Amino acid sequence: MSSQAQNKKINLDVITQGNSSSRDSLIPDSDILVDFAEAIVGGSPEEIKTSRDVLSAHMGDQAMIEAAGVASNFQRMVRIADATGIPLGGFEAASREIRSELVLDDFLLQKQN
Amino acid sequence: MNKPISYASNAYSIPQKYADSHTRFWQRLANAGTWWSASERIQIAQEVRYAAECVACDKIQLALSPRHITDAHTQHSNLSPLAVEVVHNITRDQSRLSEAWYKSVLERGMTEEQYVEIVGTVVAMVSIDSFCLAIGQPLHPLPIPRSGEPSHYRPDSARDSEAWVSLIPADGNSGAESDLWDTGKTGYVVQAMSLVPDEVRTLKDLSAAHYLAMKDVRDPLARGDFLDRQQIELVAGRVSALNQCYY
Repeated sequence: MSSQAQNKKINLDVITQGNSSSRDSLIPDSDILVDFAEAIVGGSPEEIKTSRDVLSAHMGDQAMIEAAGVASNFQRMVRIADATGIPLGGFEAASREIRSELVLDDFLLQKQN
Repeated sequence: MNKPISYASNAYSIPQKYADSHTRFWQRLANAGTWWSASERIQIAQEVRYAAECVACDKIQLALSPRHITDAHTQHSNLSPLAVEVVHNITRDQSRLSEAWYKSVLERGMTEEQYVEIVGTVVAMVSIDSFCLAIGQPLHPLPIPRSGEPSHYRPDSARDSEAWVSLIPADGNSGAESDLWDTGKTGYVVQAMSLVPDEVRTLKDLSAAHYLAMKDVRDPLARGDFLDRQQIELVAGRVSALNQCYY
């Protein structure tokens, strides 16, 4: 939605497929950011350090810290949603196209089974 | 005496907003909460960290059907085994939590208010510890508990909902809860923990430091100081996808 507002085109495959996606995300430095996000979720201090050093060298220390903040924020948000069983509500219609592209409903189906 | 959290010794120049927000949570953690004492809240925080070494959690993560694993969780606290199970499952296997499991937790004696306060404590701990790991900072020592009794405050406006837990409706946050969100303008992820309003306050505080102020989240032009909005949402989306989050 933020991309629509700014009239920017991006490919969303990278969200679900990471850097194995065959399509360019069209987001600057997406490969570096994705590596860092994946390392943080993976939790290996060595892998985090490697990707942190790359991110800092390419985008600057403050961009790395901001990415660390966002990644750790969503480690929290996903747990709130999953632990309280909140419905999508009005977000469902607004996000239908994106959800379809990202195959997000598969996660919900898995959770119900 | 609990000291404020500091990132001054970190190799990077960490903006003060992180230390300030994390200190506010640490102060909350050190005090009696709404349904748990300070000592219990700190033990919940300890169990978040111990979950990484729990053998039962390892088995659950590998199992095709997680709830068929009935091994006791490896426990390092005086919390009840049920409380430890809740803490560990939310920490380690959140994507496969189900409404059936949640209902079984209530049937086994935990109240939904106690459950929501555990959720709030676990998610704040996961977020702060994850940030430390990301920037190469040793985990902060947990605070020393202070005396005091839980308030047992339950907002009058909390209702049964489509979520598993009761919550305050989007247009129902009046009176003492009027600060939780702009009335009528919020989403379920903010309302989710409103049965324990202080958990929403911590959510807002941590989100403003780590991501965006809640009032800015729906503004597509809001961005970070060093990352543009697409880069922020890319990181957020990839973390959510790896956690198999449907939301």
